[in-house]
Amino acid sequence: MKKVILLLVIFVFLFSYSIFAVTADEIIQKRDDNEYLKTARVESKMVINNNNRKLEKVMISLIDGNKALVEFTNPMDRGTKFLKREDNLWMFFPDAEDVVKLSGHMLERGMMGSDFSYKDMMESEKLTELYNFEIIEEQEYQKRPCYVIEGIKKQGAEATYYKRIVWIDKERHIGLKEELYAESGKLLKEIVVQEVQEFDHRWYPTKSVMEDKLRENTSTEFIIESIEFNPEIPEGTFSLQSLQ
Amino acid sequence: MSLLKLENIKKIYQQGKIDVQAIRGISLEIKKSEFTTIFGPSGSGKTTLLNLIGCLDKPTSGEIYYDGSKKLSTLSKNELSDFRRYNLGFIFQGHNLIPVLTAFENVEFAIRIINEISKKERRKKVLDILKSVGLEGLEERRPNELSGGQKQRVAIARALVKNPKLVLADEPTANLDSETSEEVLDIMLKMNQKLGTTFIFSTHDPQVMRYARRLIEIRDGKVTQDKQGEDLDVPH
Amino acid sequence: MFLTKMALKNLARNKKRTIITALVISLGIVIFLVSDSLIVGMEEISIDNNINLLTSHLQIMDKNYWDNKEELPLNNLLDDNLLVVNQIKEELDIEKSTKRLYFPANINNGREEYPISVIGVEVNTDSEVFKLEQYLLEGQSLKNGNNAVIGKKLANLMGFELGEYITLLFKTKEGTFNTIEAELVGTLDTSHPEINEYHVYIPLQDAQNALGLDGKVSRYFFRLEGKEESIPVTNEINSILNRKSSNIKAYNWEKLSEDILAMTRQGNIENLIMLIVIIILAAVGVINIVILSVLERLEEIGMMKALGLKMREIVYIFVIESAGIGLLGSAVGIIIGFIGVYLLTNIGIDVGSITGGETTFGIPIIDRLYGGWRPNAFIFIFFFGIITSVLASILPARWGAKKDPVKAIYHK
Ligand SMILES: Nc1ncnc2c1ncn2[C@@H]1O[C@H](COP(=O)(O)OP(=O)(O)O)[C@@H](O)[C@H]1O
Ligand SMILES: [Mg+2]
Repeated sequence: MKKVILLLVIFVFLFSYSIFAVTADEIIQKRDDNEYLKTARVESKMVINNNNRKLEKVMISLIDGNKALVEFTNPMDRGTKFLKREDNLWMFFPDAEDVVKLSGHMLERGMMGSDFSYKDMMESEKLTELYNFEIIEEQEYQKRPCYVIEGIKKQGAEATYYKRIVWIDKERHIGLKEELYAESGKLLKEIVVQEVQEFDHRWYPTKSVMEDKLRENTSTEFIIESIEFNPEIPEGTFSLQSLQ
Repeated sequence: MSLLKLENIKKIYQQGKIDVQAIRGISLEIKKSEFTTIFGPSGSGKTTLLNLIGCLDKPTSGEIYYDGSKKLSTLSKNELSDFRRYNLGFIFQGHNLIPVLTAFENVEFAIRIINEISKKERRKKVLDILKSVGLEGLEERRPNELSGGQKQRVAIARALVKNPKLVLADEPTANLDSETSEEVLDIMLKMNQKLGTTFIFSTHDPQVMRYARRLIEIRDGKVTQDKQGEDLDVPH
Repeated sequence: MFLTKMALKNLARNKKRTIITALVISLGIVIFLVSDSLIVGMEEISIDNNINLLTSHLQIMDKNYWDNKEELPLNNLLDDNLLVVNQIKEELDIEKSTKRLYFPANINNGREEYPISVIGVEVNTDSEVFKLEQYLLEGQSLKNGNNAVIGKKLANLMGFELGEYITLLFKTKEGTFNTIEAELVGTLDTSHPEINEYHVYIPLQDAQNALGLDGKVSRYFFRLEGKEESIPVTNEINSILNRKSSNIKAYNWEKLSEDILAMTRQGNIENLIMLIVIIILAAVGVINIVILSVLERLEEIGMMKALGLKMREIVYIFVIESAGIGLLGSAVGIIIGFIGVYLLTNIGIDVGSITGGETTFGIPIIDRLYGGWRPNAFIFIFFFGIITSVLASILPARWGAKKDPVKAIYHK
């Protein structure tokens, strides 16, 4: 469900999964399939807590396959837009009236001051290709029956996190909690789903919180306020011109 | 032989908004080897006239001819400098010697800047002229080690050393006592006779008038008298 | 010639005035020479510091590493027991060398992160080449095991105390996050803001392990007998390396300290300011003296004009006179300056007492600052003093020479 956030905010897409997955992989894939939005218009909100400071960012995202356009609507960031197309990410700053392509080190920064890095959002490879997943436990979490699955980075795979542990709701196929680890074994990030909602016979996390474990008292809440499936998306929405 | 000819010279000074007519139309002719005295009271225009003749200043109107034909008004500043350098000697009211140079060097100055003769010749010339103005033995003295009369004699030597066509002396005795004045005038007269140098000198002192060979009296910028030889009423 | 002689004689006319003006020029020249010497001295110190702390006398690294070295990349690294390095050391009789592995990381104190450069150093050889130990402010120098030494400024910024554990967060070559937790055993206070604020030193082994780069280093570093040797030795090493047609190249400290050389340029700006001060001093002095002389010698100027001197000859007299003053002032300035610089280079000045021990020069370890020699500065300023005097005199001399001879003679 970290994916959801990623998808919604910056639109990461996973698709065309192997049918012949091993069990753990299958579960992961199911979760990702479930949380994957093919075509949608999402209104969401990000609340960035840094010690006692609280920042709210409101955004509208248009998603179509592996393309997405996000526009911020809160007063501070109004007009700031992101455009994702495949692996490329552009940003438009209304103040500078300038389109910038984000790359290299810039992608490692926290997006809009949040605990998500741009890179987190951009991860577009299939998780099952990067990690060896294994069910380590079955457990009740948040009063839901869950698989606890651990993924260890495959040798040579270029993944940001060395290890990830996911709690996946057996029935609803949503990740309720995910922990991301460094190679040294240090817990770097933790994402916990706080609210889920059913849309169209499909359960969806609508409120989750990401915590950067290396920094005290900071967290980012991600709240979905509405999802419209298969909306009308005007042609040219995902062109660079639409950024300006 | 005419050395110098003035044709209706006028000089007007602008003093603020007032025009001061220092010379109001003077015409005269000076012959070679003449010893001319310009006499007149203070403010009559003597200095102005000598400056015009010495081409240190330009007349407001009229023309000055040298050697019968050379028109001063046609010469540039540099040409005037050269003209003065080669042809004119000046003796001023104050001696105007260069204090850092010795008597010898002050005299030498006038021919050093001409640079036509060898060092040896030059030296001889300077020593000769200093001797003839009576300064033998004082060549190495600086101006501040000389008396007023001696300084003026150095100035005379400096004016004469280049054998100028004309020596202009504006009240050369004004700052001297009467005895020294006579000495200086004697020397000028002697040099005029010995070298045949043309002299024009001015004075307001009637005492000095007896040295005159030709006497031109001016008042208010006009010639009122021009006498020579027998016409001179002053005894020699 | 005659005019020149006369002009020089004029110098003696008002000795006091001449001497005062010349001394004003001398003063400017002494200030210039002394400050130049101090700048040279400071440059020397900062170059030495740079060598002792950052660059060493020469480094060898992969040519491709050189191009991207600012980014501290994790590719184009060298093996940590390169045969050719031993060969070079033997052939050129170099004893002191070490190696380091650089990588970028974020330092983290549980509240905030700050981007820094991590330097994995070979604990037992680093001090042969680098003098970090001399700049240890508290604690001890790096030892083997899980420990780190960082700049005092960085420690303050992050609120780290000795004995606490620092966390470094970075990415391995595969782009995977890793962390190192190391005990802070010492802090450094050097003349380099870069070290004080951005450097974290850890044992080479730890760095290699955490990055998954066992047996790899970024660069080798060498200490020679003196910095003069670095160019010839660098050339020799490069000819050895060329023979082996390897992708490795040696770089001397000068090539490695382009930023320091930029600082030197800043020193030149200080010199420029000094020059402007001298120009003003000399020009005001000379203009003043020429104006006074002209006024004093109006009659003389008029007389000389009457004698037939042209304007430019009169200008010449004053200009030569000013050149004489410039020459006098420059000569005296050079002599006093020479003595001053001699004292500066041999005795130095007590920086400690000026700044109360803690200097902001960024030269905390030394308490005496020594000047340096730059013979060119002497030659340059000597002519500069004369030329400035000459140029300054031209306008007032023209003003004097233009005076109407009639008025000049009869000005009383
Ligand atoms: N530079 C000058 N500017 C204005 N008036 C002048 C100047 N020089 C002389 N005069 C005036 O011209 C007249 C003649 O002066 P000057 O030739 O000096 O007489 P002198 O030498 O016979 O005493 C006087 O009235 C004097 O005030
Ligand atoms: Mg007069």
